[in-house]
Formats: sequence, structure tokens, C-alpha cells
Amino acid sequence: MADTDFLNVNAGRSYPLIYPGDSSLDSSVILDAGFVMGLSAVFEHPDDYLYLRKVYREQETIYFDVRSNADGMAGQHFLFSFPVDSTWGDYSVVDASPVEQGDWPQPISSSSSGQAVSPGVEDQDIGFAYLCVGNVELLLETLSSDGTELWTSSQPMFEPAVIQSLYGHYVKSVTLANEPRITADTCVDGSSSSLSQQGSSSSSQPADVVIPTSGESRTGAQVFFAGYNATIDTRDDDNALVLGARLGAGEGLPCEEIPRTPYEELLLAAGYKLDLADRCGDVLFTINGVPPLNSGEFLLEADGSGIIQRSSGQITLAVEVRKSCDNSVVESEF
Amino acid sequence: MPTGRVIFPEWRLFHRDGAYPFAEGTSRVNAEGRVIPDSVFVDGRLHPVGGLSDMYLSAVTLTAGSVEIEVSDDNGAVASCEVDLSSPPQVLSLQDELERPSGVLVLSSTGALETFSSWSPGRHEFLPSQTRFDAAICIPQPQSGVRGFQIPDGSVFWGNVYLVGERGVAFTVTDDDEIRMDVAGDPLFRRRVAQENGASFSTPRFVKTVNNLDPDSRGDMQITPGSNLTDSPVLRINPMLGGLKIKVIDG
Repeated sequence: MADTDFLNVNAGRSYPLIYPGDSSLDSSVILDAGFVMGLSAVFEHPDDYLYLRKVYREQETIYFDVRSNADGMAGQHFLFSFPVDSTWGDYSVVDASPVEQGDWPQPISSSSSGQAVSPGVEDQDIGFAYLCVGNVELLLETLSSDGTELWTSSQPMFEPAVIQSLYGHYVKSVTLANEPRITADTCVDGSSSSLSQQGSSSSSQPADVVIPTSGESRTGAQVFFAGYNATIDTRDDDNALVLGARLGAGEGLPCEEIPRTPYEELLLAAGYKLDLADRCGDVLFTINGVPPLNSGEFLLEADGSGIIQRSSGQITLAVEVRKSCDNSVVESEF
Repeated sequence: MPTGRVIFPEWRLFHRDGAYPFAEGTSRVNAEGRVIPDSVFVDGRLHPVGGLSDMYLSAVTLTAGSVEIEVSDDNGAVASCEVDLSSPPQVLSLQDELERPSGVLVLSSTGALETFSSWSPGRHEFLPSQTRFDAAICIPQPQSGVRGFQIPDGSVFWGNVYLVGERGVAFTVTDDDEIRMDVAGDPLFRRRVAQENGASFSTPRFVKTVNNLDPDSRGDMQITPGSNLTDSPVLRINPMLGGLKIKVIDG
């Protein structure tokens, strides 16, 4: 009676590869496999897949090279290694790693097969995997000496159910950035501004980019701090972090320029204004506590006999006061 | 691949005739008498975020031209997949309500879902005892760490997320390595709006002093009638909408 243990059964069928397997690789060589594709692999069922690209020998080690057509797997592979004297049921657990320079034929679905691209970069979020082997001795009949390879003729794919994709499952990092500030062609005093911002041309309208606050992506626990006019609250019922604004909240009203990048700190140190932000007390917002109309206009109205005369930069208020007794007129000017 | 091996049929072929990927002992028949044949599903792997180990096929919903498969655990629906029957795949890619990958169900063939075409349109529900999945295909995925940022419109952000300060909002890093948010305003916003609308714009000149006097720290300037040396001053300055009304009271 046949041995029906899981690995024994798999030795007689293509699993974990999809049937029909590659006739150049006996089904008893690979018995089981499992892949956890990390967030950076950008692996999406059902369009993406993993396939066995080749098997080769270097000295006393046999390598199984597994690759994928997933976007994040370009230049990456799972490279499993086994000693040539591996026995039934031995397994190897590996992280995805960059391929060697120049060693990257495109996936089997690509029309540009054979074109090499640059290796990927080290990234612990690509994924990890295991591969379990069985009859390695049979494989050694083909890979008899150092440097020999077994190119799988049809590059067989792995069963989709042995692949777990974590794409979209977690936040990998947080990068702080800010929209470029708009800049003025001329300063308030009328002089020409020589300030040119990152991400913008000499025009006052910034380019459609964002500028990272620093070059570092943030990971791990994060703490939010409410700065000028800012509120940071939590809402338990829907687990929300609420970033809000309220005049005077947080650190109160801003009374200083806020450099958003190290570059802007240099600008400030050099005496530039950033976005002509008005510091506390620099500009009139209200008179006697009264704000202007929505148009920004502030009204001075003289009642009765008052007269307001306006000239450039100057308001003259004259009122006539009639004394009730002699009906004489006195004109006063403020 | 050697042929003629009948002792060890291929993986998918083998599972066409058994309960897998459903657990042994499940009936695959619901209260309406709807039967999910063994030959429909042959494999799977379920790993929805927050999903528990006891997941089951909770509903098959039929509409014109499509089938929706819903997977639930003890807490309710955790993943689903809607399939266009005009071009059915062989691998069903499941997603959770935030459209995150939640696993796969493998069909015996691309036409396997036609089994459901004989069912009446609508939702056909199943109980855990009827369609619980085999434990081997259920991968509990704990909700540990920050899984994503969701904004009110339902969009979810994961991976490398940018927090961008826009139009008067600035994100910086404090000396204590905290994320600081400042809402400092956008003093030149009218210039921005004008340029976006193709309108001309001249730089405004803000009132900064009156008779070389600065406003106070809140930007307020006080204009008062003068000293109160007399008991009956004639000058009155009263606030009104958008300004001040100045008048003199006749003696």
C-alpha cells in the first residue's frame, strides 16, 4: 500500500507546483513550499504568481531560484540552498534577496524575455518562504558537478494557495512632508524678492510636489504634538485620530516663522522670509476688537456732522460742533 | 511529469472529490437545500486582517451576471469576492471591506461557478457547521500594529505613508522626535487662488502701524476718545459691523 503521508503523496504529484509540472524536474524533488509575500512585494492575486526559474549547483550546494512577476519582486528572488547530501524532508527558510547584477530575465509573461535589469535593494518587507525537498539524489543525476544548471523548460508556477500576500496589510513607514509654500514676487515693502523655494520655479506658484520634512521615513511608535492653532484628539468609538485646528489651540497663535525643512532653516538663518507670514503684532487684524468685513475693508463712519476725508495713507476726521447757546461752529480735526 | 500515476493524483484533481478546502464533517448544504458540490472549490488560503481561525463560507449572492462569495468568522464577514460570470477566473482573490488582500479560493476550473447559475437570484446563507473551512487554509492574521490610515471618505493608506501639510498646515519634527502639526495659516492664499483661476493679482499691503504705532500682540489697535479729564466728553467711538462709528454728542 502506498505511503499516504503528505510529503510522500506530494512526491508523486506536481504539488506545490501547478500541474502540469516541468518534465525536466521530477515531482519528487520539491515536496512542499510556502511563501509569505510582504508589503513591498506588491503581490496581488490572481494576476501575480511565483515560479521556479532554475535549479543549479555551486560546488556542494544546490540552489532553487524562485521569482515572481509581482511589481515589487523586480530584481528580487527567493534563493533556497541545500547541501548535495540533503535528505528527505529537509527544508530551507529564506528571506527574499536581490538577484545578482545582470541576472534577471524577465518573467515568462514578458515579451522582452532575457533582458537584464538592475538587482533590487535589500528590503525585509519583500517576504520570506520555505521550501521542502525530497529526492535530491535524483536531482544530482542532472546536477552532477559544480556549475551545472537545470533550466526548467516551462518555468512552473507555484500553487496560489501556498502564497500569502500581505500587500496592503500594514503601514510600513510614515514620511512627513509639506506642500511647497507659495512665494511672493515682491515683498511687502515693494522690493523684489530673490527667494526661490524648493520645488518651485521662479514663479510664485509652487510646483505640484511635496517636500519631505527630512530624508527619513519614520517607523515604530509615533507621537503627535499639537503646535500652533492645532488640536489632536482621539475618538474611541471609531478608533480615530482627529487632527484639527482652532484659533489659539495647541501652542497658541504662531509668533514666528515655521521652517518646514532643513533648507528653510538655512533660509531663515540667512535672513529670508519664508512665506511672508505675519508674526504676532506685525499686522492689524482688528481695531477696538472689531474685525473688518469679509472683503477686508474696515469702515470708519462719522455720525451726524462728521466728515471723513481720505487721502493716500491718511484719514482725516473733521466734525462740526454747534454750541447750543450761540450756535457758533467749531471744527475739530482728529 | 510521468503519466499514468493514479495512486497520487494531482493536487487539484485529488481535491475535486473531497470536502477540502472545507473541513471534514461539514455538510455544504444550507437550510434551503442549496448544495455546494465538492467539485467547485479545490484549494484556498484565507488570511484576512483580524480574521479568526474558524472561517466559513457564509453566503453566496447571485445577481445578474455575477456571483459574490462571502467569508465570515464568529465576528461577521471578513472577506468577499465578486466574480463576473462572463469571464470567471480560476483563482478567486478575496478582499476585506477595506479592499485589502485576504486570501484566495481556487476553483477546479474557470467554469466551476456555473454550478450556482441554477440557484435563484439573491443571497443564500450558510452556517459554520455547513461550510467551515479546513483549519489548514485559515491563517489567523492579528490586528497588531498600525494596519493603515483611513480617512472619512473610506480610503485606506498603507505601506509607506506620507503625511503632507498643505495650505497653512505644516508638519515638522520636534527635538523630541515628535510629529508636530502647526496650523499657521496661508498668508498668501489669495495669490494662490488668483493664479489658479488665471486672475491677476497685486500684492496686498497690510496695515502694520497707525501713526507709527504697532498693534498689540493679538493684532488689535485701540482708538479711544481721548483722556477722561472731563465728566461729559462729546466724542463717542462705537463698534459696528466691519468698523467703527465715530460721533460727537452736542453739548
